[in-house]
Amino acid sequence: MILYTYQSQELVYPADEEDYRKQELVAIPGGQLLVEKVTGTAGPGMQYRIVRLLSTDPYLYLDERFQPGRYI
Amino acid sequence: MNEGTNPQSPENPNQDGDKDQKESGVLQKIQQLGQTNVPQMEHSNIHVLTIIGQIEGHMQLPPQNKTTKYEHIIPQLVAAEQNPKIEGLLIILNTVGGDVEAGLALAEMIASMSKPTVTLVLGGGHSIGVPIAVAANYSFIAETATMTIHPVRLTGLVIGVPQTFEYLDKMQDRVISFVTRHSKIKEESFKELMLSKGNLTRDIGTNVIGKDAVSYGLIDEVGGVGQAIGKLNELIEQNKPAGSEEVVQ
Repeated sequence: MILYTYQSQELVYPADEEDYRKQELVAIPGGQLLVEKVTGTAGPGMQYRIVRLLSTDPYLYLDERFQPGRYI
Repeated sequence: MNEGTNPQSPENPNQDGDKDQKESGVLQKIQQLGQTNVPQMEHSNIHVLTIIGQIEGHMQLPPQNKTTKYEHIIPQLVAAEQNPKIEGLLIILNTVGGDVEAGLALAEMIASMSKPTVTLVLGGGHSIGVPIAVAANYSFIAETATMTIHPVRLTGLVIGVPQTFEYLDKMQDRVISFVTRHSKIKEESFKELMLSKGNLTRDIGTNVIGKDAVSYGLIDEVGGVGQAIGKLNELIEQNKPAGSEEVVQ
């Protein structure tokens, strides 16, 4: 499909509101974690996955607790 | 969130199994008794800021877009400026550009920092990434990295065409004046790159790669993370006032 329009992509295909609500920011010492709610994973309490670490401290990126993809 | 653990606390490692739980118990006891310091990584005197994806302005982009958010970066820059333990800031760019005002705000923030700053363009530092790349005290570009210089534009419906044109023209001037003030490139040659034809598909502008960016005077040097950290350490040394050895009482 080829669209010929002056409208921007976001206006033609608006993003699902749900997508915005899935992600949350959690404060950690020295920065913030962008986490995503995941449902239906094994184990109690495992409902968030780390998407991204937001920090300027390079050592925090070495900390395995904050590795992206990790469940918290 | 894990039950029973507080993710806010650095002394509370996540429970990764029985072994970790035992270890964390021991650590907690040691901390509570205050007998020994828990070995912790020393603080880095250099902090790193990554500017990736799109630079987000007033519109929040859908979550599948990788964005650099103004509200995340500005407080980090303030913290880096204010924290006495942080002596220098390395800014790594791989951006496609984005909102002009947000990008210029970041560039102005970086340029006005009193601590040494070094930027490194890896991959791409396009459009509004250009002012950010030149904002630091010293700039590096990877040999294969590119920077696209093109005029400011707008998508969507435009009402009040002459006024909008005027506004865009002024906005472009702000970008040009920032870049020429913070790099060695001349205004004429920057405008020439911005408005030249035949380089980009369906667009005017130029894509400058690694060495070219240096030869135009836009970026100071071709290099990678090693050179960037080396330069930053050198600037940190220069920044220290003479005889600033710590006073031992």
